Amino acid sequence: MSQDFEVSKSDREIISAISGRQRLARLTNFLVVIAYLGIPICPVCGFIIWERNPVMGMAFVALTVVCVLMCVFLGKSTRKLEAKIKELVGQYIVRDVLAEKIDIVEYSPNSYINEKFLKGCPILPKFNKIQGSDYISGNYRDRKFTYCDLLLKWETKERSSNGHRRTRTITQFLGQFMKMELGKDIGGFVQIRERKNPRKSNGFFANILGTGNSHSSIETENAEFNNQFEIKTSDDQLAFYILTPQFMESVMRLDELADGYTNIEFRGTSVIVTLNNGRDSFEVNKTLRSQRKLEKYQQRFRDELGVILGVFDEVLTKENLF
Amino acid sequence: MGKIVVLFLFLVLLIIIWYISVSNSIKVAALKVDESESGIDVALTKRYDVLTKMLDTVKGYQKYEQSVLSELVELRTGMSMAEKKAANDTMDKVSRDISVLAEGYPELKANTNFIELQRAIVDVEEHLQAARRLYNSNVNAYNAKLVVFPSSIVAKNMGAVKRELFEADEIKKQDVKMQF
Repeated sequence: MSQDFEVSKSDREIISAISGRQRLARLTNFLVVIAYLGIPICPVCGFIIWERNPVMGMAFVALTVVCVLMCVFLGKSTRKLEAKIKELVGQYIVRDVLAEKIDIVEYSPNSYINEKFLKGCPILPKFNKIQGSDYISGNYRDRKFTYCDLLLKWETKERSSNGHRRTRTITQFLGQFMKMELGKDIGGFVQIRERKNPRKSNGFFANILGTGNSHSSIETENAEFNNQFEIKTSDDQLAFYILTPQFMESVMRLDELADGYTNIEFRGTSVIVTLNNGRDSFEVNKTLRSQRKLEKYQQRFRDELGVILGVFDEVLTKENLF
Repeated sequence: MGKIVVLFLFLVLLIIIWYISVSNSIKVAALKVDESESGIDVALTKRYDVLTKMLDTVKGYQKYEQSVLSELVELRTGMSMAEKKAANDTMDKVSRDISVLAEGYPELKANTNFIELQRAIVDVEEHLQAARRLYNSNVNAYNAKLVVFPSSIVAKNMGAVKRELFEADEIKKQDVKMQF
């Protein structure tokens, strides 16, 4: 009976190392919030009390400086702690889960794919702020691939009507980025982008004006696919070569699996898949207190990996390209 | 009175612009059909070349292939869609016959050259499928413009005629009989 409840020493150490830092990160976060609130409150209190008690007033003003310093230093500490937690979770939990199914060449919990490459990727939205994690480079079913989680934002600085400057940030992409090497050079590109809004059928005036289906450069035989995805290509025949009826079914299955906006690009010797589903994979959100919690996270990571590999499996149905 | 004349002229101008727009879209659709037809020609020519090479490889295994070679219709410019389809059907038959022949000769199946040609023929056939589907898609779009009102009025005035599709082989449309 004691064996059933015994937790292996390494698991205990993992839980202890991660949960300790998580608790510390929560504490520092809490202190940052307090300090942040203190920045406007302390000087106001100080000036109110100044007339009655200048010493106390000075103390409140000094406390404001302390609050600012706390915000800066504790904020940095929190970020460092979070990166360390991510590193520990990655190296001790995620890596083992990945190794069950794929041949890992490189795994870095806090890194992502080269920003310059991402900026040049036409199926990603434009961005000027980037965060990423869980960079994986490896082999799956004898195919080389790279993967990472991405958060892309577009930040603009604008002046409001009363002259105040403010920063507006829009999240453009939160999800997964995958790249796989093809077995040959397709000599062009084919982009498959999921429409944000399902395409409406032709209106009365479309027929009169003779514009017809002008939304997409390619119209396949699969009406459901055409309504869901927009296809752009350098060569119409290449698009039909890649988008066989079976592969179109695979893409729709892949999209259901990903549960988000799916974009795929075949270009040259590689295929890129982006899933904008609002999810950041391989994250530990709650405090890792026990072996049961650890196993729960391991299973969740297995499920997330299952979705990612499911995407690869659907792309790999295109055997003639691999 | 003046207003009525201006309105009338405006309507006439709109109709003229519409007519030109639809006429141009029909011409562009026709060009797309021609372009995709040439894609079929390229794919058929490639298929013919690969099949001829395969027949050279199987030479000597059976005299049968000599008559098969003569069956293969050499592609020439200006062939109608029906003639191209007939040529394609013959190539389908030759391809099937070669596969059946290879089953009877293990040393042929193991021949590196033959294996590479088999891969090549699969790739060529997939490209032909793509070319056929693109052509049919463009023909459907073009024929729709000729049939749908009111663009059908413009098409009739232009003397535009429907184009034929590149249909699948009748044998392929039938259910496959599984024999064990």
